[in-house]
Amino acid sequence: MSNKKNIVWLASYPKSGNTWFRIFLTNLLEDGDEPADINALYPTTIASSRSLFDEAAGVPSSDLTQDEVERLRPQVYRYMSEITSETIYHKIHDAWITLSDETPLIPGDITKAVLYFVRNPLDIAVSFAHHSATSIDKAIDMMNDPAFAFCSRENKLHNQTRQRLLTWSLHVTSWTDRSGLPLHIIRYEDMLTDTFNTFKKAIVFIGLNYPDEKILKALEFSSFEKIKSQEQEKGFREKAAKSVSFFRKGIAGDWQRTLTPEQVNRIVSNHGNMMERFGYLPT
Amino acid sequence: MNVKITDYPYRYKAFNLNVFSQLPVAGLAEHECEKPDIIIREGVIPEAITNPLNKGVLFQAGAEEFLLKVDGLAKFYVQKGETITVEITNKDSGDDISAFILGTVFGALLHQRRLLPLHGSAVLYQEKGIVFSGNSGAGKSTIAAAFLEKGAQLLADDISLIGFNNNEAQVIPAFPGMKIWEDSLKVLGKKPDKYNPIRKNLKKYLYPVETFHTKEAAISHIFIIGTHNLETFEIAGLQGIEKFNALKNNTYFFRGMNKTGILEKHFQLCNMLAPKVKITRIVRPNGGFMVEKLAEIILEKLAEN
Repeated sequence: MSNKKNIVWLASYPKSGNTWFRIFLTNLLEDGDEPADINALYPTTIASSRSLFDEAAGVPSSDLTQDEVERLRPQVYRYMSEITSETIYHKIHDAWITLSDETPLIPGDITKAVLYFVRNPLDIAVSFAHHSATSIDKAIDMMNDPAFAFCSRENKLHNQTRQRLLTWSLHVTSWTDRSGLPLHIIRYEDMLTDTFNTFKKAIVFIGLNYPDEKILKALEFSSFEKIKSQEQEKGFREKAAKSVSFFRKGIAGDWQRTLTPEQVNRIVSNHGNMMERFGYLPT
Repeated sequence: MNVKITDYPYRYKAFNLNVFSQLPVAGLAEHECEKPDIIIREGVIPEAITNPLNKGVLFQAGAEEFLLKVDGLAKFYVQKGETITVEITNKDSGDDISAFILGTVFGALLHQRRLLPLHGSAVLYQEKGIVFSGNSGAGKSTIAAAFLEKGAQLLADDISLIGFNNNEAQVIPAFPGMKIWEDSLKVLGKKPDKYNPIRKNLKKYLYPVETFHTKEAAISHIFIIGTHNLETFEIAGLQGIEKFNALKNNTYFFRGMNKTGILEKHFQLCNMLAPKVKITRIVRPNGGFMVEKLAEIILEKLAEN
């Protein structure tokens, strides 16, 4: 197989700004006269998509164990890379992990770039609880659990293949410290407060060259108010089934009005080092 | 096909084809017959096809040959729509081999025979042949099983083969079993421990069906089932080119046919089928499988005609 470096990974722990960026990217690439439909985003197929796997593998993932699927995923990405000359974008919530034979889940030889979205875990806890229609304490349990994975129950066919997220800190360090991939970190908080520069740096990093006015238009079309109103009007296909809405507040610091001191302590005691690195420790 | 009958101790019928096999195939119906349409034999398989026209992660394909390699289990080689050679690379593979034969391997074989296999389960309900199609996880088998509880007879699970007879489009009976996940068995009120898993480490079970219809059935409706994260059901009748595209997109193992010269005939078959069948797309909520609600919607659509 040829090794073209043509995959851009949009990687993040959930609720960290990934979807907002994908809506912006759609508006930028499609360059329409009105905001892009949030239910018809530019192909940024999630890397854990079952259809993606089934098409590339030639054997339905539903006839394979979760471990077998995981072992084959690097080959699936190499195959997708090989069959196109275009740049492929994949959203991904898996941590950057290595498989039992020490090969990485995400092959470096086909990776063009990684945009890694990071957000204050205190705010993630609030948002993740809403997203998962669970309590904040349970959301914190998930963020603190080194074995945490999406779609891991083995008694049913999930619409995606298993994704190991690990803890929030391990997720961040796996991508930003261990992967060795060409990676640009985007803080969610900077997306909110220094929007233009943050988004512009991100697209420049992945090799897109657009004039400022196009970037500004794409940002306008993907403003929180616009995407929230689209969701209220037509719904959002990517919303978790049990949650009320995907786009909720789109702000930083909500935790200060929501988390109890005990909940803050549970997060800080588990993730303090990583939080300090990104300026997230409460003062 | 001239073969020495005593070399093939297992005889089955699947998709109206006589199968002679050197290996037991879990799920297929035993069937005494004198001449095979298909043989399944054990043998040594080459590592690669010479000049493959199409490749995926686990397969290579030409117009008349198809190679599937499942690491740590077996290799499968399909030729001319007639012969399946299996090279077992793990002696403990047991029934695991059958799961792949009844899936990708048969899919490739039916394509080589220039037939039209849809990705879906099919039942005969009130004299109507109905196919439930859609991606993996859409709930094809579960809704088919729910219809069996309503008195339908099974025609096929996962691969629904479409044939034509005197201008009538028909579903060809496949084999009297379904592959159902543990949670779906529970939804259907069945106890998983009564069934054999299709593979040792998979909680997906071979669900034998006694009410299997053994004759071709005229096809009346195809329901393309999808899921979304909204709470609503979306229902849309397809027309014109939408029907052709739906058939193409819901063909079993469509990607496996790319570049192999099979597609042209396949598109002809889709064109033949499209005007003869009603196709409805139903998108259901992803959260919790409301199988009875889905069945209700399907019954309403069936009653419209």
